[in-house]
Amino acid sequence: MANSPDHFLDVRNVSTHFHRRQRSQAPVVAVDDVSFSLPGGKPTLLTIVGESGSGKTTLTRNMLGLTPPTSGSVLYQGKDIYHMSSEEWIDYRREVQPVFQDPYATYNPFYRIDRVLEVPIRKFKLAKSKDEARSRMEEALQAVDLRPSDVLGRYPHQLSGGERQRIMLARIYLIRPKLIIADEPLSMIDASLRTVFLNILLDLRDNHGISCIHITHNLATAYYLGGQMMIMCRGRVIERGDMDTIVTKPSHPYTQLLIESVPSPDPELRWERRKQETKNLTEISELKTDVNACVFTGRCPHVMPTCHTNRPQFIPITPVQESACFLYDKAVNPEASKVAPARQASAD
Amino acid sequence: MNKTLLDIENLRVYFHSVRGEYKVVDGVNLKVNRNEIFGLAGESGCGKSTVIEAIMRLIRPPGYIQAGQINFYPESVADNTHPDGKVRQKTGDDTLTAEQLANGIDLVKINERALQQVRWKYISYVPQASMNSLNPIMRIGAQMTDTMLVHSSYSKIEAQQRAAEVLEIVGLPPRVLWSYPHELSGGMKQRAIIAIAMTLNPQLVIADEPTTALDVNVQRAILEAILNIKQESGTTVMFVSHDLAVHAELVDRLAIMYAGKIVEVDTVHKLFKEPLHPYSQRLFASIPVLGGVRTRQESILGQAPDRLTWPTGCRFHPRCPFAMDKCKQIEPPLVEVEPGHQVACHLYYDVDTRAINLTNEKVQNGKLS
Repeated sequence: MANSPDHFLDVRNVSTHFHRRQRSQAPVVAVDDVSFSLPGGKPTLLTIVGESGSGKTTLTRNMLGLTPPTSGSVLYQGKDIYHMSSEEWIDYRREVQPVFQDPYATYNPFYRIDRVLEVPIRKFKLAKSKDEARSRMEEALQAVDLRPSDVLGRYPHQLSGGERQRIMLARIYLIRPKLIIADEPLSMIDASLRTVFLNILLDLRDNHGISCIHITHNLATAYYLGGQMMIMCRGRVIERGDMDTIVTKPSHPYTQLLIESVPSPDPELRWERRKQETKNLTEISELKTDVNACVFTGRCPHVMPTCHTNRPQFIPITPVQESACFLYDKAVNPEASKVAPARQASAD
Repeated sequence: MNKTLLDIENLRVYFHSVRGEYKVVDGVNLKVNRNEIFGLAGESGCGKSTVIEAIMRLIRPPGYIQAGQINFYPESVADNTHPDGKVRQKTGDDTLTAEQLANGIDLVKINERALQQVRWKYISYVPQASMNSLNPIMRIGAQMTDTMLVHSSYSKIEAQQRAAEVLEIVGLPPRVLWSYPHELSGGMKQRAIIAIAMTLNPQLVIADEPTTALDVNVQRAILEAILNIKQESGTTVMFVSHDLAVHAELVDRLAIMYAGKIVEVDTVHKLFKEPLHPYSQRLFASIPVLGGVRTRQESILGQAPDRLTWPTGCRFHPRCPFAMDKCKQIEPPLVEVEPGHQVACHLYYDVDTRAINLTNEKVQNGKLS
């Protein structure tokens, strides 16, 4: 994942700090030195997974140009999005489209749903005539499994959460961006509609070449999409790589705990009958903002003295997986080569 | 001793509206046994929460309980909530008598005064998104003792001791007693609410989606707290969630609800292995498995039915791949087809001949796995 100019989105050493009310207190580090990039050319799906408070949403806002990072930069096609000319900025906003967490908060309750679709058509001059605009809107709605007659002319309060999120996708379909940044798009949708939403994301990637960064805390829905994955914990990325490898062979102790905690849809494989060693690890420790330490020391079962004084760097585990953990560092842990990533219990 | 703790018969909860009557819960039959975790699953809008609200008698106009019985059979008559065993209840004409408690109470019929006695002490309730129901300007400890002082004869000091005790059961440190809600994370608040529900040692705890919208780690801690409650104090738990994986981790018996009705009930182990109702089959087939083979899943065909005009006959027939003519006309009853396994489907039970047919070829062939 080296940074180079042909990456179309490039997040470089982004850190975001928030001051507390008392300036004497150390600021809250929401995002801590995160770097990653999306390759140009091939549409990719990147899923960012993390528990609440891990900085997922702040990172999203950094990427969307809503919250400038304290340090580091976000480059889109080689240009820093916070230092763009107004034409470039308009292009960026057209080519990178967000889907937000709360479909109840994104709509203006006074306007009909039509407006959500009409405004981008007008702004980005997507249609020549009114009729063409209308047919484009209908096509977009059909693409997301909605009947135009059911939604057009209605107000947001008349639609369910799932319908609202799909209208956001219809809007995206209309604009045909290059990248969708979806921040927990499923948290307010009913389980039975989640697959509909995820299938649309897959279709947009496969049929229209749209990349997607999907931010979630739900590993099960993340897994359904596949692609690349990054695990965040306390503002830092602690493991990244190919999703299938991470899910079946998590290497970082935090990822192991996270995957172990996903309820298994098999009553024969309950936690009580699985390993007991992860017990008591679910308790959330106090927020740590020590730059020179691993963020997971408070809960890690394999914690070593170095973890408290040094910050782990990424170490390749497999060709498609990297982990920021000293367990795999040969200089620190002489048995590093023997530490095999734990296999997930339910996958056996 | 009666095995059943809660027996819901033909419960119907309707809501008035200008467009007509919304039959949100329309003939639900359920039996919850003592000392089990009973799960209730179904897609949103199927009436899960309304059943729970009816049990707690929290249905407010325009909603009303149109028909049905909710019989509750509490275990002991004595005031088991007080450590010294003395009964210090306010007595009056309306209070529940020992006889009533022994024969079971119909929660639909009893008056408000009697309900006050039942709520919290016998049945407690953890509502949906309940972490937001804590009072932001009261310390957690005060909110916990409040409940106890109103609903039991605890003294203030006893109440504080009990509060610390239940916090430990749900895995929270005692310092939480002096915390304000904003100082706690969502998962801790949710556990504090479960602790409040446990303070009076109720016989039934009803939890409505207690882990929805929480992280997996926090969710696990809460589920473990619930399991702990059941094991330590023998409490019966009724657990509502749309997440089947959560049910698989936690519950003993599971009921699947569809369009205001129960379509299938069995132990969770058997139900996951071989669901019979076509709706359950589809539901179980659509659970994402972490680390499993990635296949594209299609959602259940068609839209969920309109609550104003349920389909005639079997309510699932417009979306059912095995629908027969009979399904459009006759409503299938919930029948016990095997010991402990109830299902409402014409494929397994012939309403005319009363014959049970478990090996229906059509279903075997079309089974989704």
